[in-house]
Amino acid sequence: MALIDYANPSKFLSFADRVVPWLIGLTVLAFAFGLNQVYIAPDDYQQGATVKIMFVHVPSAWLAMFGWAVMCVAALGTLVWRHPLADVAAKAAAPVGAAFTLICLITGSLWGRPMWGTYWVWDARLTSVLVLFLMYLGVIALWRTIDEPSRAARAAAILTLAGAVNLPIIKFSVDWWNTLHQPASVFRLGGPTIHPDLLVPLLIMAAAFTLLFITLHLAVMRNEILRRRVRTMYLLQAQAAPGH
Amino acid sequence: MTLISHADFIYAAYGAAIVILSLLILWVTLDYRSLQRTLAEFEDEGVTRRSDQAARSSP
Repeated sequence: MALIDYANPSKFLSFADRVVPWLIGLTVLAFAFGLNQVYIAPDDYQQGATVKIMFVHVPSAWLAMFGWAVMCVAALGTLVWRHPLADVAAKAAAPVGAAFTLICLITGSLWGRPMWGTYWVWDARLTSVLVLFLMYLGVIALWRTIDEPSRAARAAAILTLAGAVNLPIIKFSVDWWNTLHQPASVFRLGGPTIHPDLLVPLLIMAAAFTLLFITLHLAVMRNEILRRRVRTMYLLQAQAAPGH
Repeated sequence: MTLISHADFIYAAYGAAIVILSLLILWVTLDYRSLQRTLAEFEDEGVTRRSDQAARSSP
């Protein structure tokens, strides 16, 4: 079966029904391994045990941006390629991305209090991630505002692509402005600056969180297709009603 | 003044992540079951989509 075949909602549903249980199993295994690695990871010489917050905060931040990037690709699929499932993918990614962004903000604050002495500063990195969270909420609200799915899809796609400008701002904020948030220590030109004893658990947790994102995204896409079927059924029922 | 150890911040961070992800998973699961139930009710009432009718009538 070619990839294009999964553009058919029914075929995608059957694909999701087969794949999601396996992804759930893989995700559980990945988290079990990752959390074990987190538990045995050594303390940082400066942060102490507080470094363990980074094993949740950093993957959440990556997936917060990844979620919006997925929505951007899906938005292009809606507006340019007219892919049948593009708007489903876009709508499904929003709540998942918003959840990871919220985790990033909360865990970052809880790390910042003992390390910086404050839960929050209005520096470029923190502010731009807060803007990302508000953008997620805005897109979710926009989807709910417009009843007709294809009209909602076009409006949400335009808003999503406009919001894409925030992604490089988040990424390069620590370079462009004088921020309290530290510069990149993993994805940087000179390579990671983190010791492997901390880098390996971080990457394992990032893989586990990514599997979780993919699983949840597929599951929410499945729900959205079912929701549109329910909408169709209500419309058919209304058309069949006496006097219509 | 109560002194909060750094461990409290670590537990709070993991706790917040667990709560948010649990709520998300719960929402996805309950939504799925509700939608399946609604579709089953429509099928029981005989309301079907044109594509489902065509699939059933084709040899």
